[in-house]
Amino acid sequence: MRLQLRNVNRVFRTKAGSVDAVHDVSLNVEPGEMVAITGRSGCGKTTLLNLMGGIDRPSSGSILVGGWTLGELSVRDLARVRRNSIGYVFQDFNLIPTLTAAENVAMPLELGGMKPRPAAEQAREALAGVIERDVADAFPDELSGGQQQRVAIARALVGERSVLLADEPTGALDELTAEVIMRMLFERAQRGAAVVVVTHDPGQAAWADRVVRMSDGVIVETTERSATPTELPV
Amino acid sequence: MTGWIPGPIWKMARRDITRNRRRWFASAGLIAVAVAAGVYATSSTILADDESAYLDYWYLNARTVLSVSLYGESTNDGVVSVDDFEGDISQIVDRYGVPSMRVVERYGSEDFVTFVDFAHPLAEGHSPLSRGRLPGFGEVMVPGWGPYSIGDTVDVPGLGDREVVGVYRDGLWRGVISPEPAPDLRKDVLLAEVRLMYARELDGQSAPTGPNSIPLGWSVELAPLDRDSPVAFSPYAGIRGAGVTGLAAAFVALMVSAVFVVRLRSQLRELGLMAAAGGGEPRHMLLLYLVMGGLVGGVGAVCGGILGIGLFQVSMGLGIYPWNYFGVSNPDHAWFRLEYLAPMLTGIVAAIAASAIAAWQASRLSVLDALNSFIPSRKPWRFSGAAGISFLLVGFIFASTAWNATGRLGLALGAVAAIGILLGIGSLGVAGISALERTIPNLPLWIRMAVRDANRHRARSGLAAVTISVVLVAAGLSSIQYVEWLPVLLYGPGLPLWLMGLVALIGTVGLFVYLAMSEVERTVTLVGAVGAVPRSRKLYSGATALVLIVTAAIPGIPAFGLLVLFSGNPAARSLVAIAGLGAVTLVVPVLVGLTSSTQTRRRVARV
Repeated sequence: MRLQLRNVNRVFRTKAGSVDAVHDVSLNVEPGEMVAITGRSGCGKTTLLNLMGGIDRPSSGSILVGGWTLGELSVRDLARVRRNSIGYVFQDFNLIPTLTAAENVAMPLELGGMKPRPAAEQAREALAGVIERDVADAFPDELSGGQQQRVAIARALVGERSVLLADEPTGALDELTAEVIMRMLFERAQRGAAVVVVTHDPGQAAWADRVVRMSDGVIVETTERSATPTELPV
Repeated sequence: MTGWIPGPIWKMARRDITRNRRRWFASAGLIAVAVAAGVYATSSTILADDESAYLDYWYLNARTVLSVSLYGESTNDGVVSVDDFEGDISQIVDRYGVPSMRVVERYGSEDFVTFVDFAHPLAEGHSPLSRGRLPGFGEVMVPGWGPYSIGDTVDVPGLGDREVVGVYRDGLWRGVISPEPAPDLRKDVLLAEVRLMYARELDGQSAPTGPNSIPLGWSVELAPLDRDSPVAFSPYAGIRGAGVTGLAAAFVALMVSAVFVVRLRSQLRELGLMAAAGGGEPRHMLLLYLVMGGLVGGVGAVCGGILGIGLFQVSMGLGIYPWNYFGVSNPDHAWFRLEYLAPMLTGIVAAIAASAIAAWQASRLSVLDALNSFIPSRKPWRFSGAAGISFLLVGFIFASTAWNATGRLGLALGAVAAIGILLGIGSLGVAGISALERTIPNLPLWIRMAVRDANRHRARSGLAAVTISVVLVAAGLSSIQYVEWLPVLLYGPGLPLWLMGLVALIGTVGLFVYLAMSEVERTVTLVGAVGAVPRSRKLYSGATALVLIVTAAIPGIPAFGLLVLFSGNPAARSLVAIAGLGAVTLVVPVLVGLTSSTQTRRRVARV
C-alpha cells in the first residue's frame, strides 16, 4: 500500500502565536520501501509521522494511504484505517499493561470484530516471527525493553497492515537490540510493506532505502541508500 | 457478551480492577454501602406503622378474624380504654380452645388530642365526629402531641394557644386467630360475653357527660376468612427503600465518578495506544469505562446485597426490627425477596452512571493528546459565577415553593430545585477555582502550585464541590422538622441526618483528598527530587488538600446555611452545626495532607 503526502502543513496555535510544525511536505513511500526521517529535536519528525498515521490531522494538504485521504475521514473511519492498514511502534510504553503480549498483538484484530480464538492464533504466529522465546502469555511488566519492542512490532505487523510507522523504536534500547529491531523493520519492508522510521541515529537510518532530513518543519535533504543490505551492520 | 464488547475491552476493564485493588475496592465498597442501606430499608415489608401492609399480612394468612371495636368520645378522663379489654378478650378466646391469637391492630392511645375551636376555619369539617352531629363543633387533631388532659393549654402551630376541650379516644382491638378456622367460636356467645365485660368495666366509673360528649359504643365482629394470596409488598417499604436507595446511590455515584475521572487521567497513554496502535474507536473507549462501571457496580451490588441481608438478619436476631417504631415484632421475614434486586440493580446503574463522565471524556479524547497523556485545559466560562448564583437562586425559589406543595407537584418542584441547586454549586465551584487562580501571583510557590492543580483538574474539583455540598445540604436537612414529603415526614425527626452527614462528610473529604494526592503524587515526588526540604513538600500536600476543600466548600457552606434558614430551626443549633462542619472541613484535609506528605517522603527518599 502506497503512502502519499501532498503539500502537507501542520500549524499549531499557541498563546505566543502560530507554529509551523510541518510546512509544505510532499513525500511518497512505495510498498517495499523503507524511509528514515531524521533531524534535530523539534524539527517536526514526530508530527509528520503522526500525520501519516492518522493520529493527527493536517492543517492543509492531503495524506493518502491506499485509496483513503486521511484528512477527510471521520473519527470512526480513521480508526478503522489505522486498525486495518497502519501499524505503529513508539519509542517506549508501547504495550497496554493489562493485556498479555499475545493479547496486545491480537487487540487490533479483536477490536475489528475477529473472534478471540483465530485472533489469538494469528497473534501467536506474528509473535513467533519476531521473538524466539514464548512470551505470549507474559504481561508487559514481565518483559525486557527489547522484548516489548518486538511485541509492539508484532502488533504493528499483524493482520493485513501494509504501512508500518515507527517513532524512534530503538531510542530506549541498547545497541545490539536496536540493530535487531531495525533489521526486523527492514525485512518487513523487503516483504512489501511501506515502512517509515523516525530516528536520531545515523547508524539506524542507514537501514533505510531513503533518508529524509527535516529542519524547522521542512524536508531539507533526501538521500538514497548507497550500501546494499549485506553491507549493513548486524 | 464478547460479541458485543470486544475481548480486549473486557480484559482491560477486569484486569484494571484487579491491578488497582485499593481504588476499585473502595469504589465497590461505596456502592455496597448504598446498596446495603437500600436493602435494609426495603427488608421490612411488614411495617408497624404501615397499617395496611401489617393488616394485609395477617388477614391474608388468617382463617378467622375477631374484631372488637370501641368508639366514641369522652369529655373526661374516665373513658374506658380499649387496653382495658385486651386481657379479658384474650381469656374469652382462650376458653374456646383457639390455637393461636395475635393482636394485630389497636387504637386508643392518648396520642390523639382534640382541640376545639368554633371560629377557626381550619377546624371546620375536619372531624367526622363534628359532621352533622354537633353543629359548629370543629377540631384540629395533632398526632403525637399527647398526652394532654382537658383544660390544658397547648400551642397549636398556626393557631397559637388553645385550650384542650376534648380528648378523642377511639378504640379498636382486632385479634386474628390463625391459621386454622375456629368453628366453636360463636359470634353471638362472644358478643354476649363482651357486652358483659364492657358493662363490668364501666361499673363504678362515671359515664361520659357534657355538651360535646358522644356515648361510647362497641361492636364485635367475627369473620372467617379464606384468602390465601401471598403477602403483598408494602408500598411504604417500597417508598422508603426507593428513597434511601436513591439518595445513597446518587451520593455514592458522585464520589465514584471522581474515582473514574482520576483513573482516566492516569490511563490516557493506554487509551492513546489503544487508538493509535490498536485502531480503537471512540465507542471502544466509551465501552471500557462503562464496563468498568458495570463490574465495580456488580461487585458492589452483590456485596451490598449480602451486607444488607446480613444486617437485617442480625438485627432481627438481636430483636432490632428495622423501621419499627411501635415495637410490634415482625411476624415474618424472608432471607431473600425479589424486591432486594431493586437496590442491587440501582447500585449497578449508579456505578455505570458514575463511569459515564469518564467514559464520555475518554470517547472524545484526541489520540494525540491521549498519547501525550495530556488533556487540554479549557478556560472556564467567564459567566460561570453569575450563572451559579442564578441557578442557586432559582433552585431555592423552587425549593421554597416545593416546601409547601405535596404529591407529584411537590416532587416535580423539588426535582427542579435540586437540579438548579446542583448546577449552581457546580458553576460556582468552577468560578471559585478560577477566581482563586487570579488572586495568587504573589502567594508562596506551594499555594500557587496547589491552586493551579485544582484549576487544571476541574472535573475532580467540581465533583468534590458538588459532593461536599450535597453532604452539607444533607446535614442541613437534619434541622427540618416539618416537610410534607412522606419519608421525611415519617422519619425525619427520628433520623440523625446531621450525624450521617458528618460521617459522610469526613468520608467524602478523605476520598477526595486521597484522589487529589494520588494525582499530584508525581509532582510532590519531583518537588522532593529537585531538592525541596520536607517542610515544603508538606506545605504543598497540605495546600493541595486545603485548596480542594476550600473550593468545594465555597458554594457548599452557603447552601447549607440557606437550607438551615429555610428550616426555621433555632439559630443556635444552626451555628453549632456550621461551626462543627467548618472545623471538620478545615482540619481533615490538613491532617490527610500531612499524612500523605509523610508517605511521599519515603518515595522521595527512594528517588
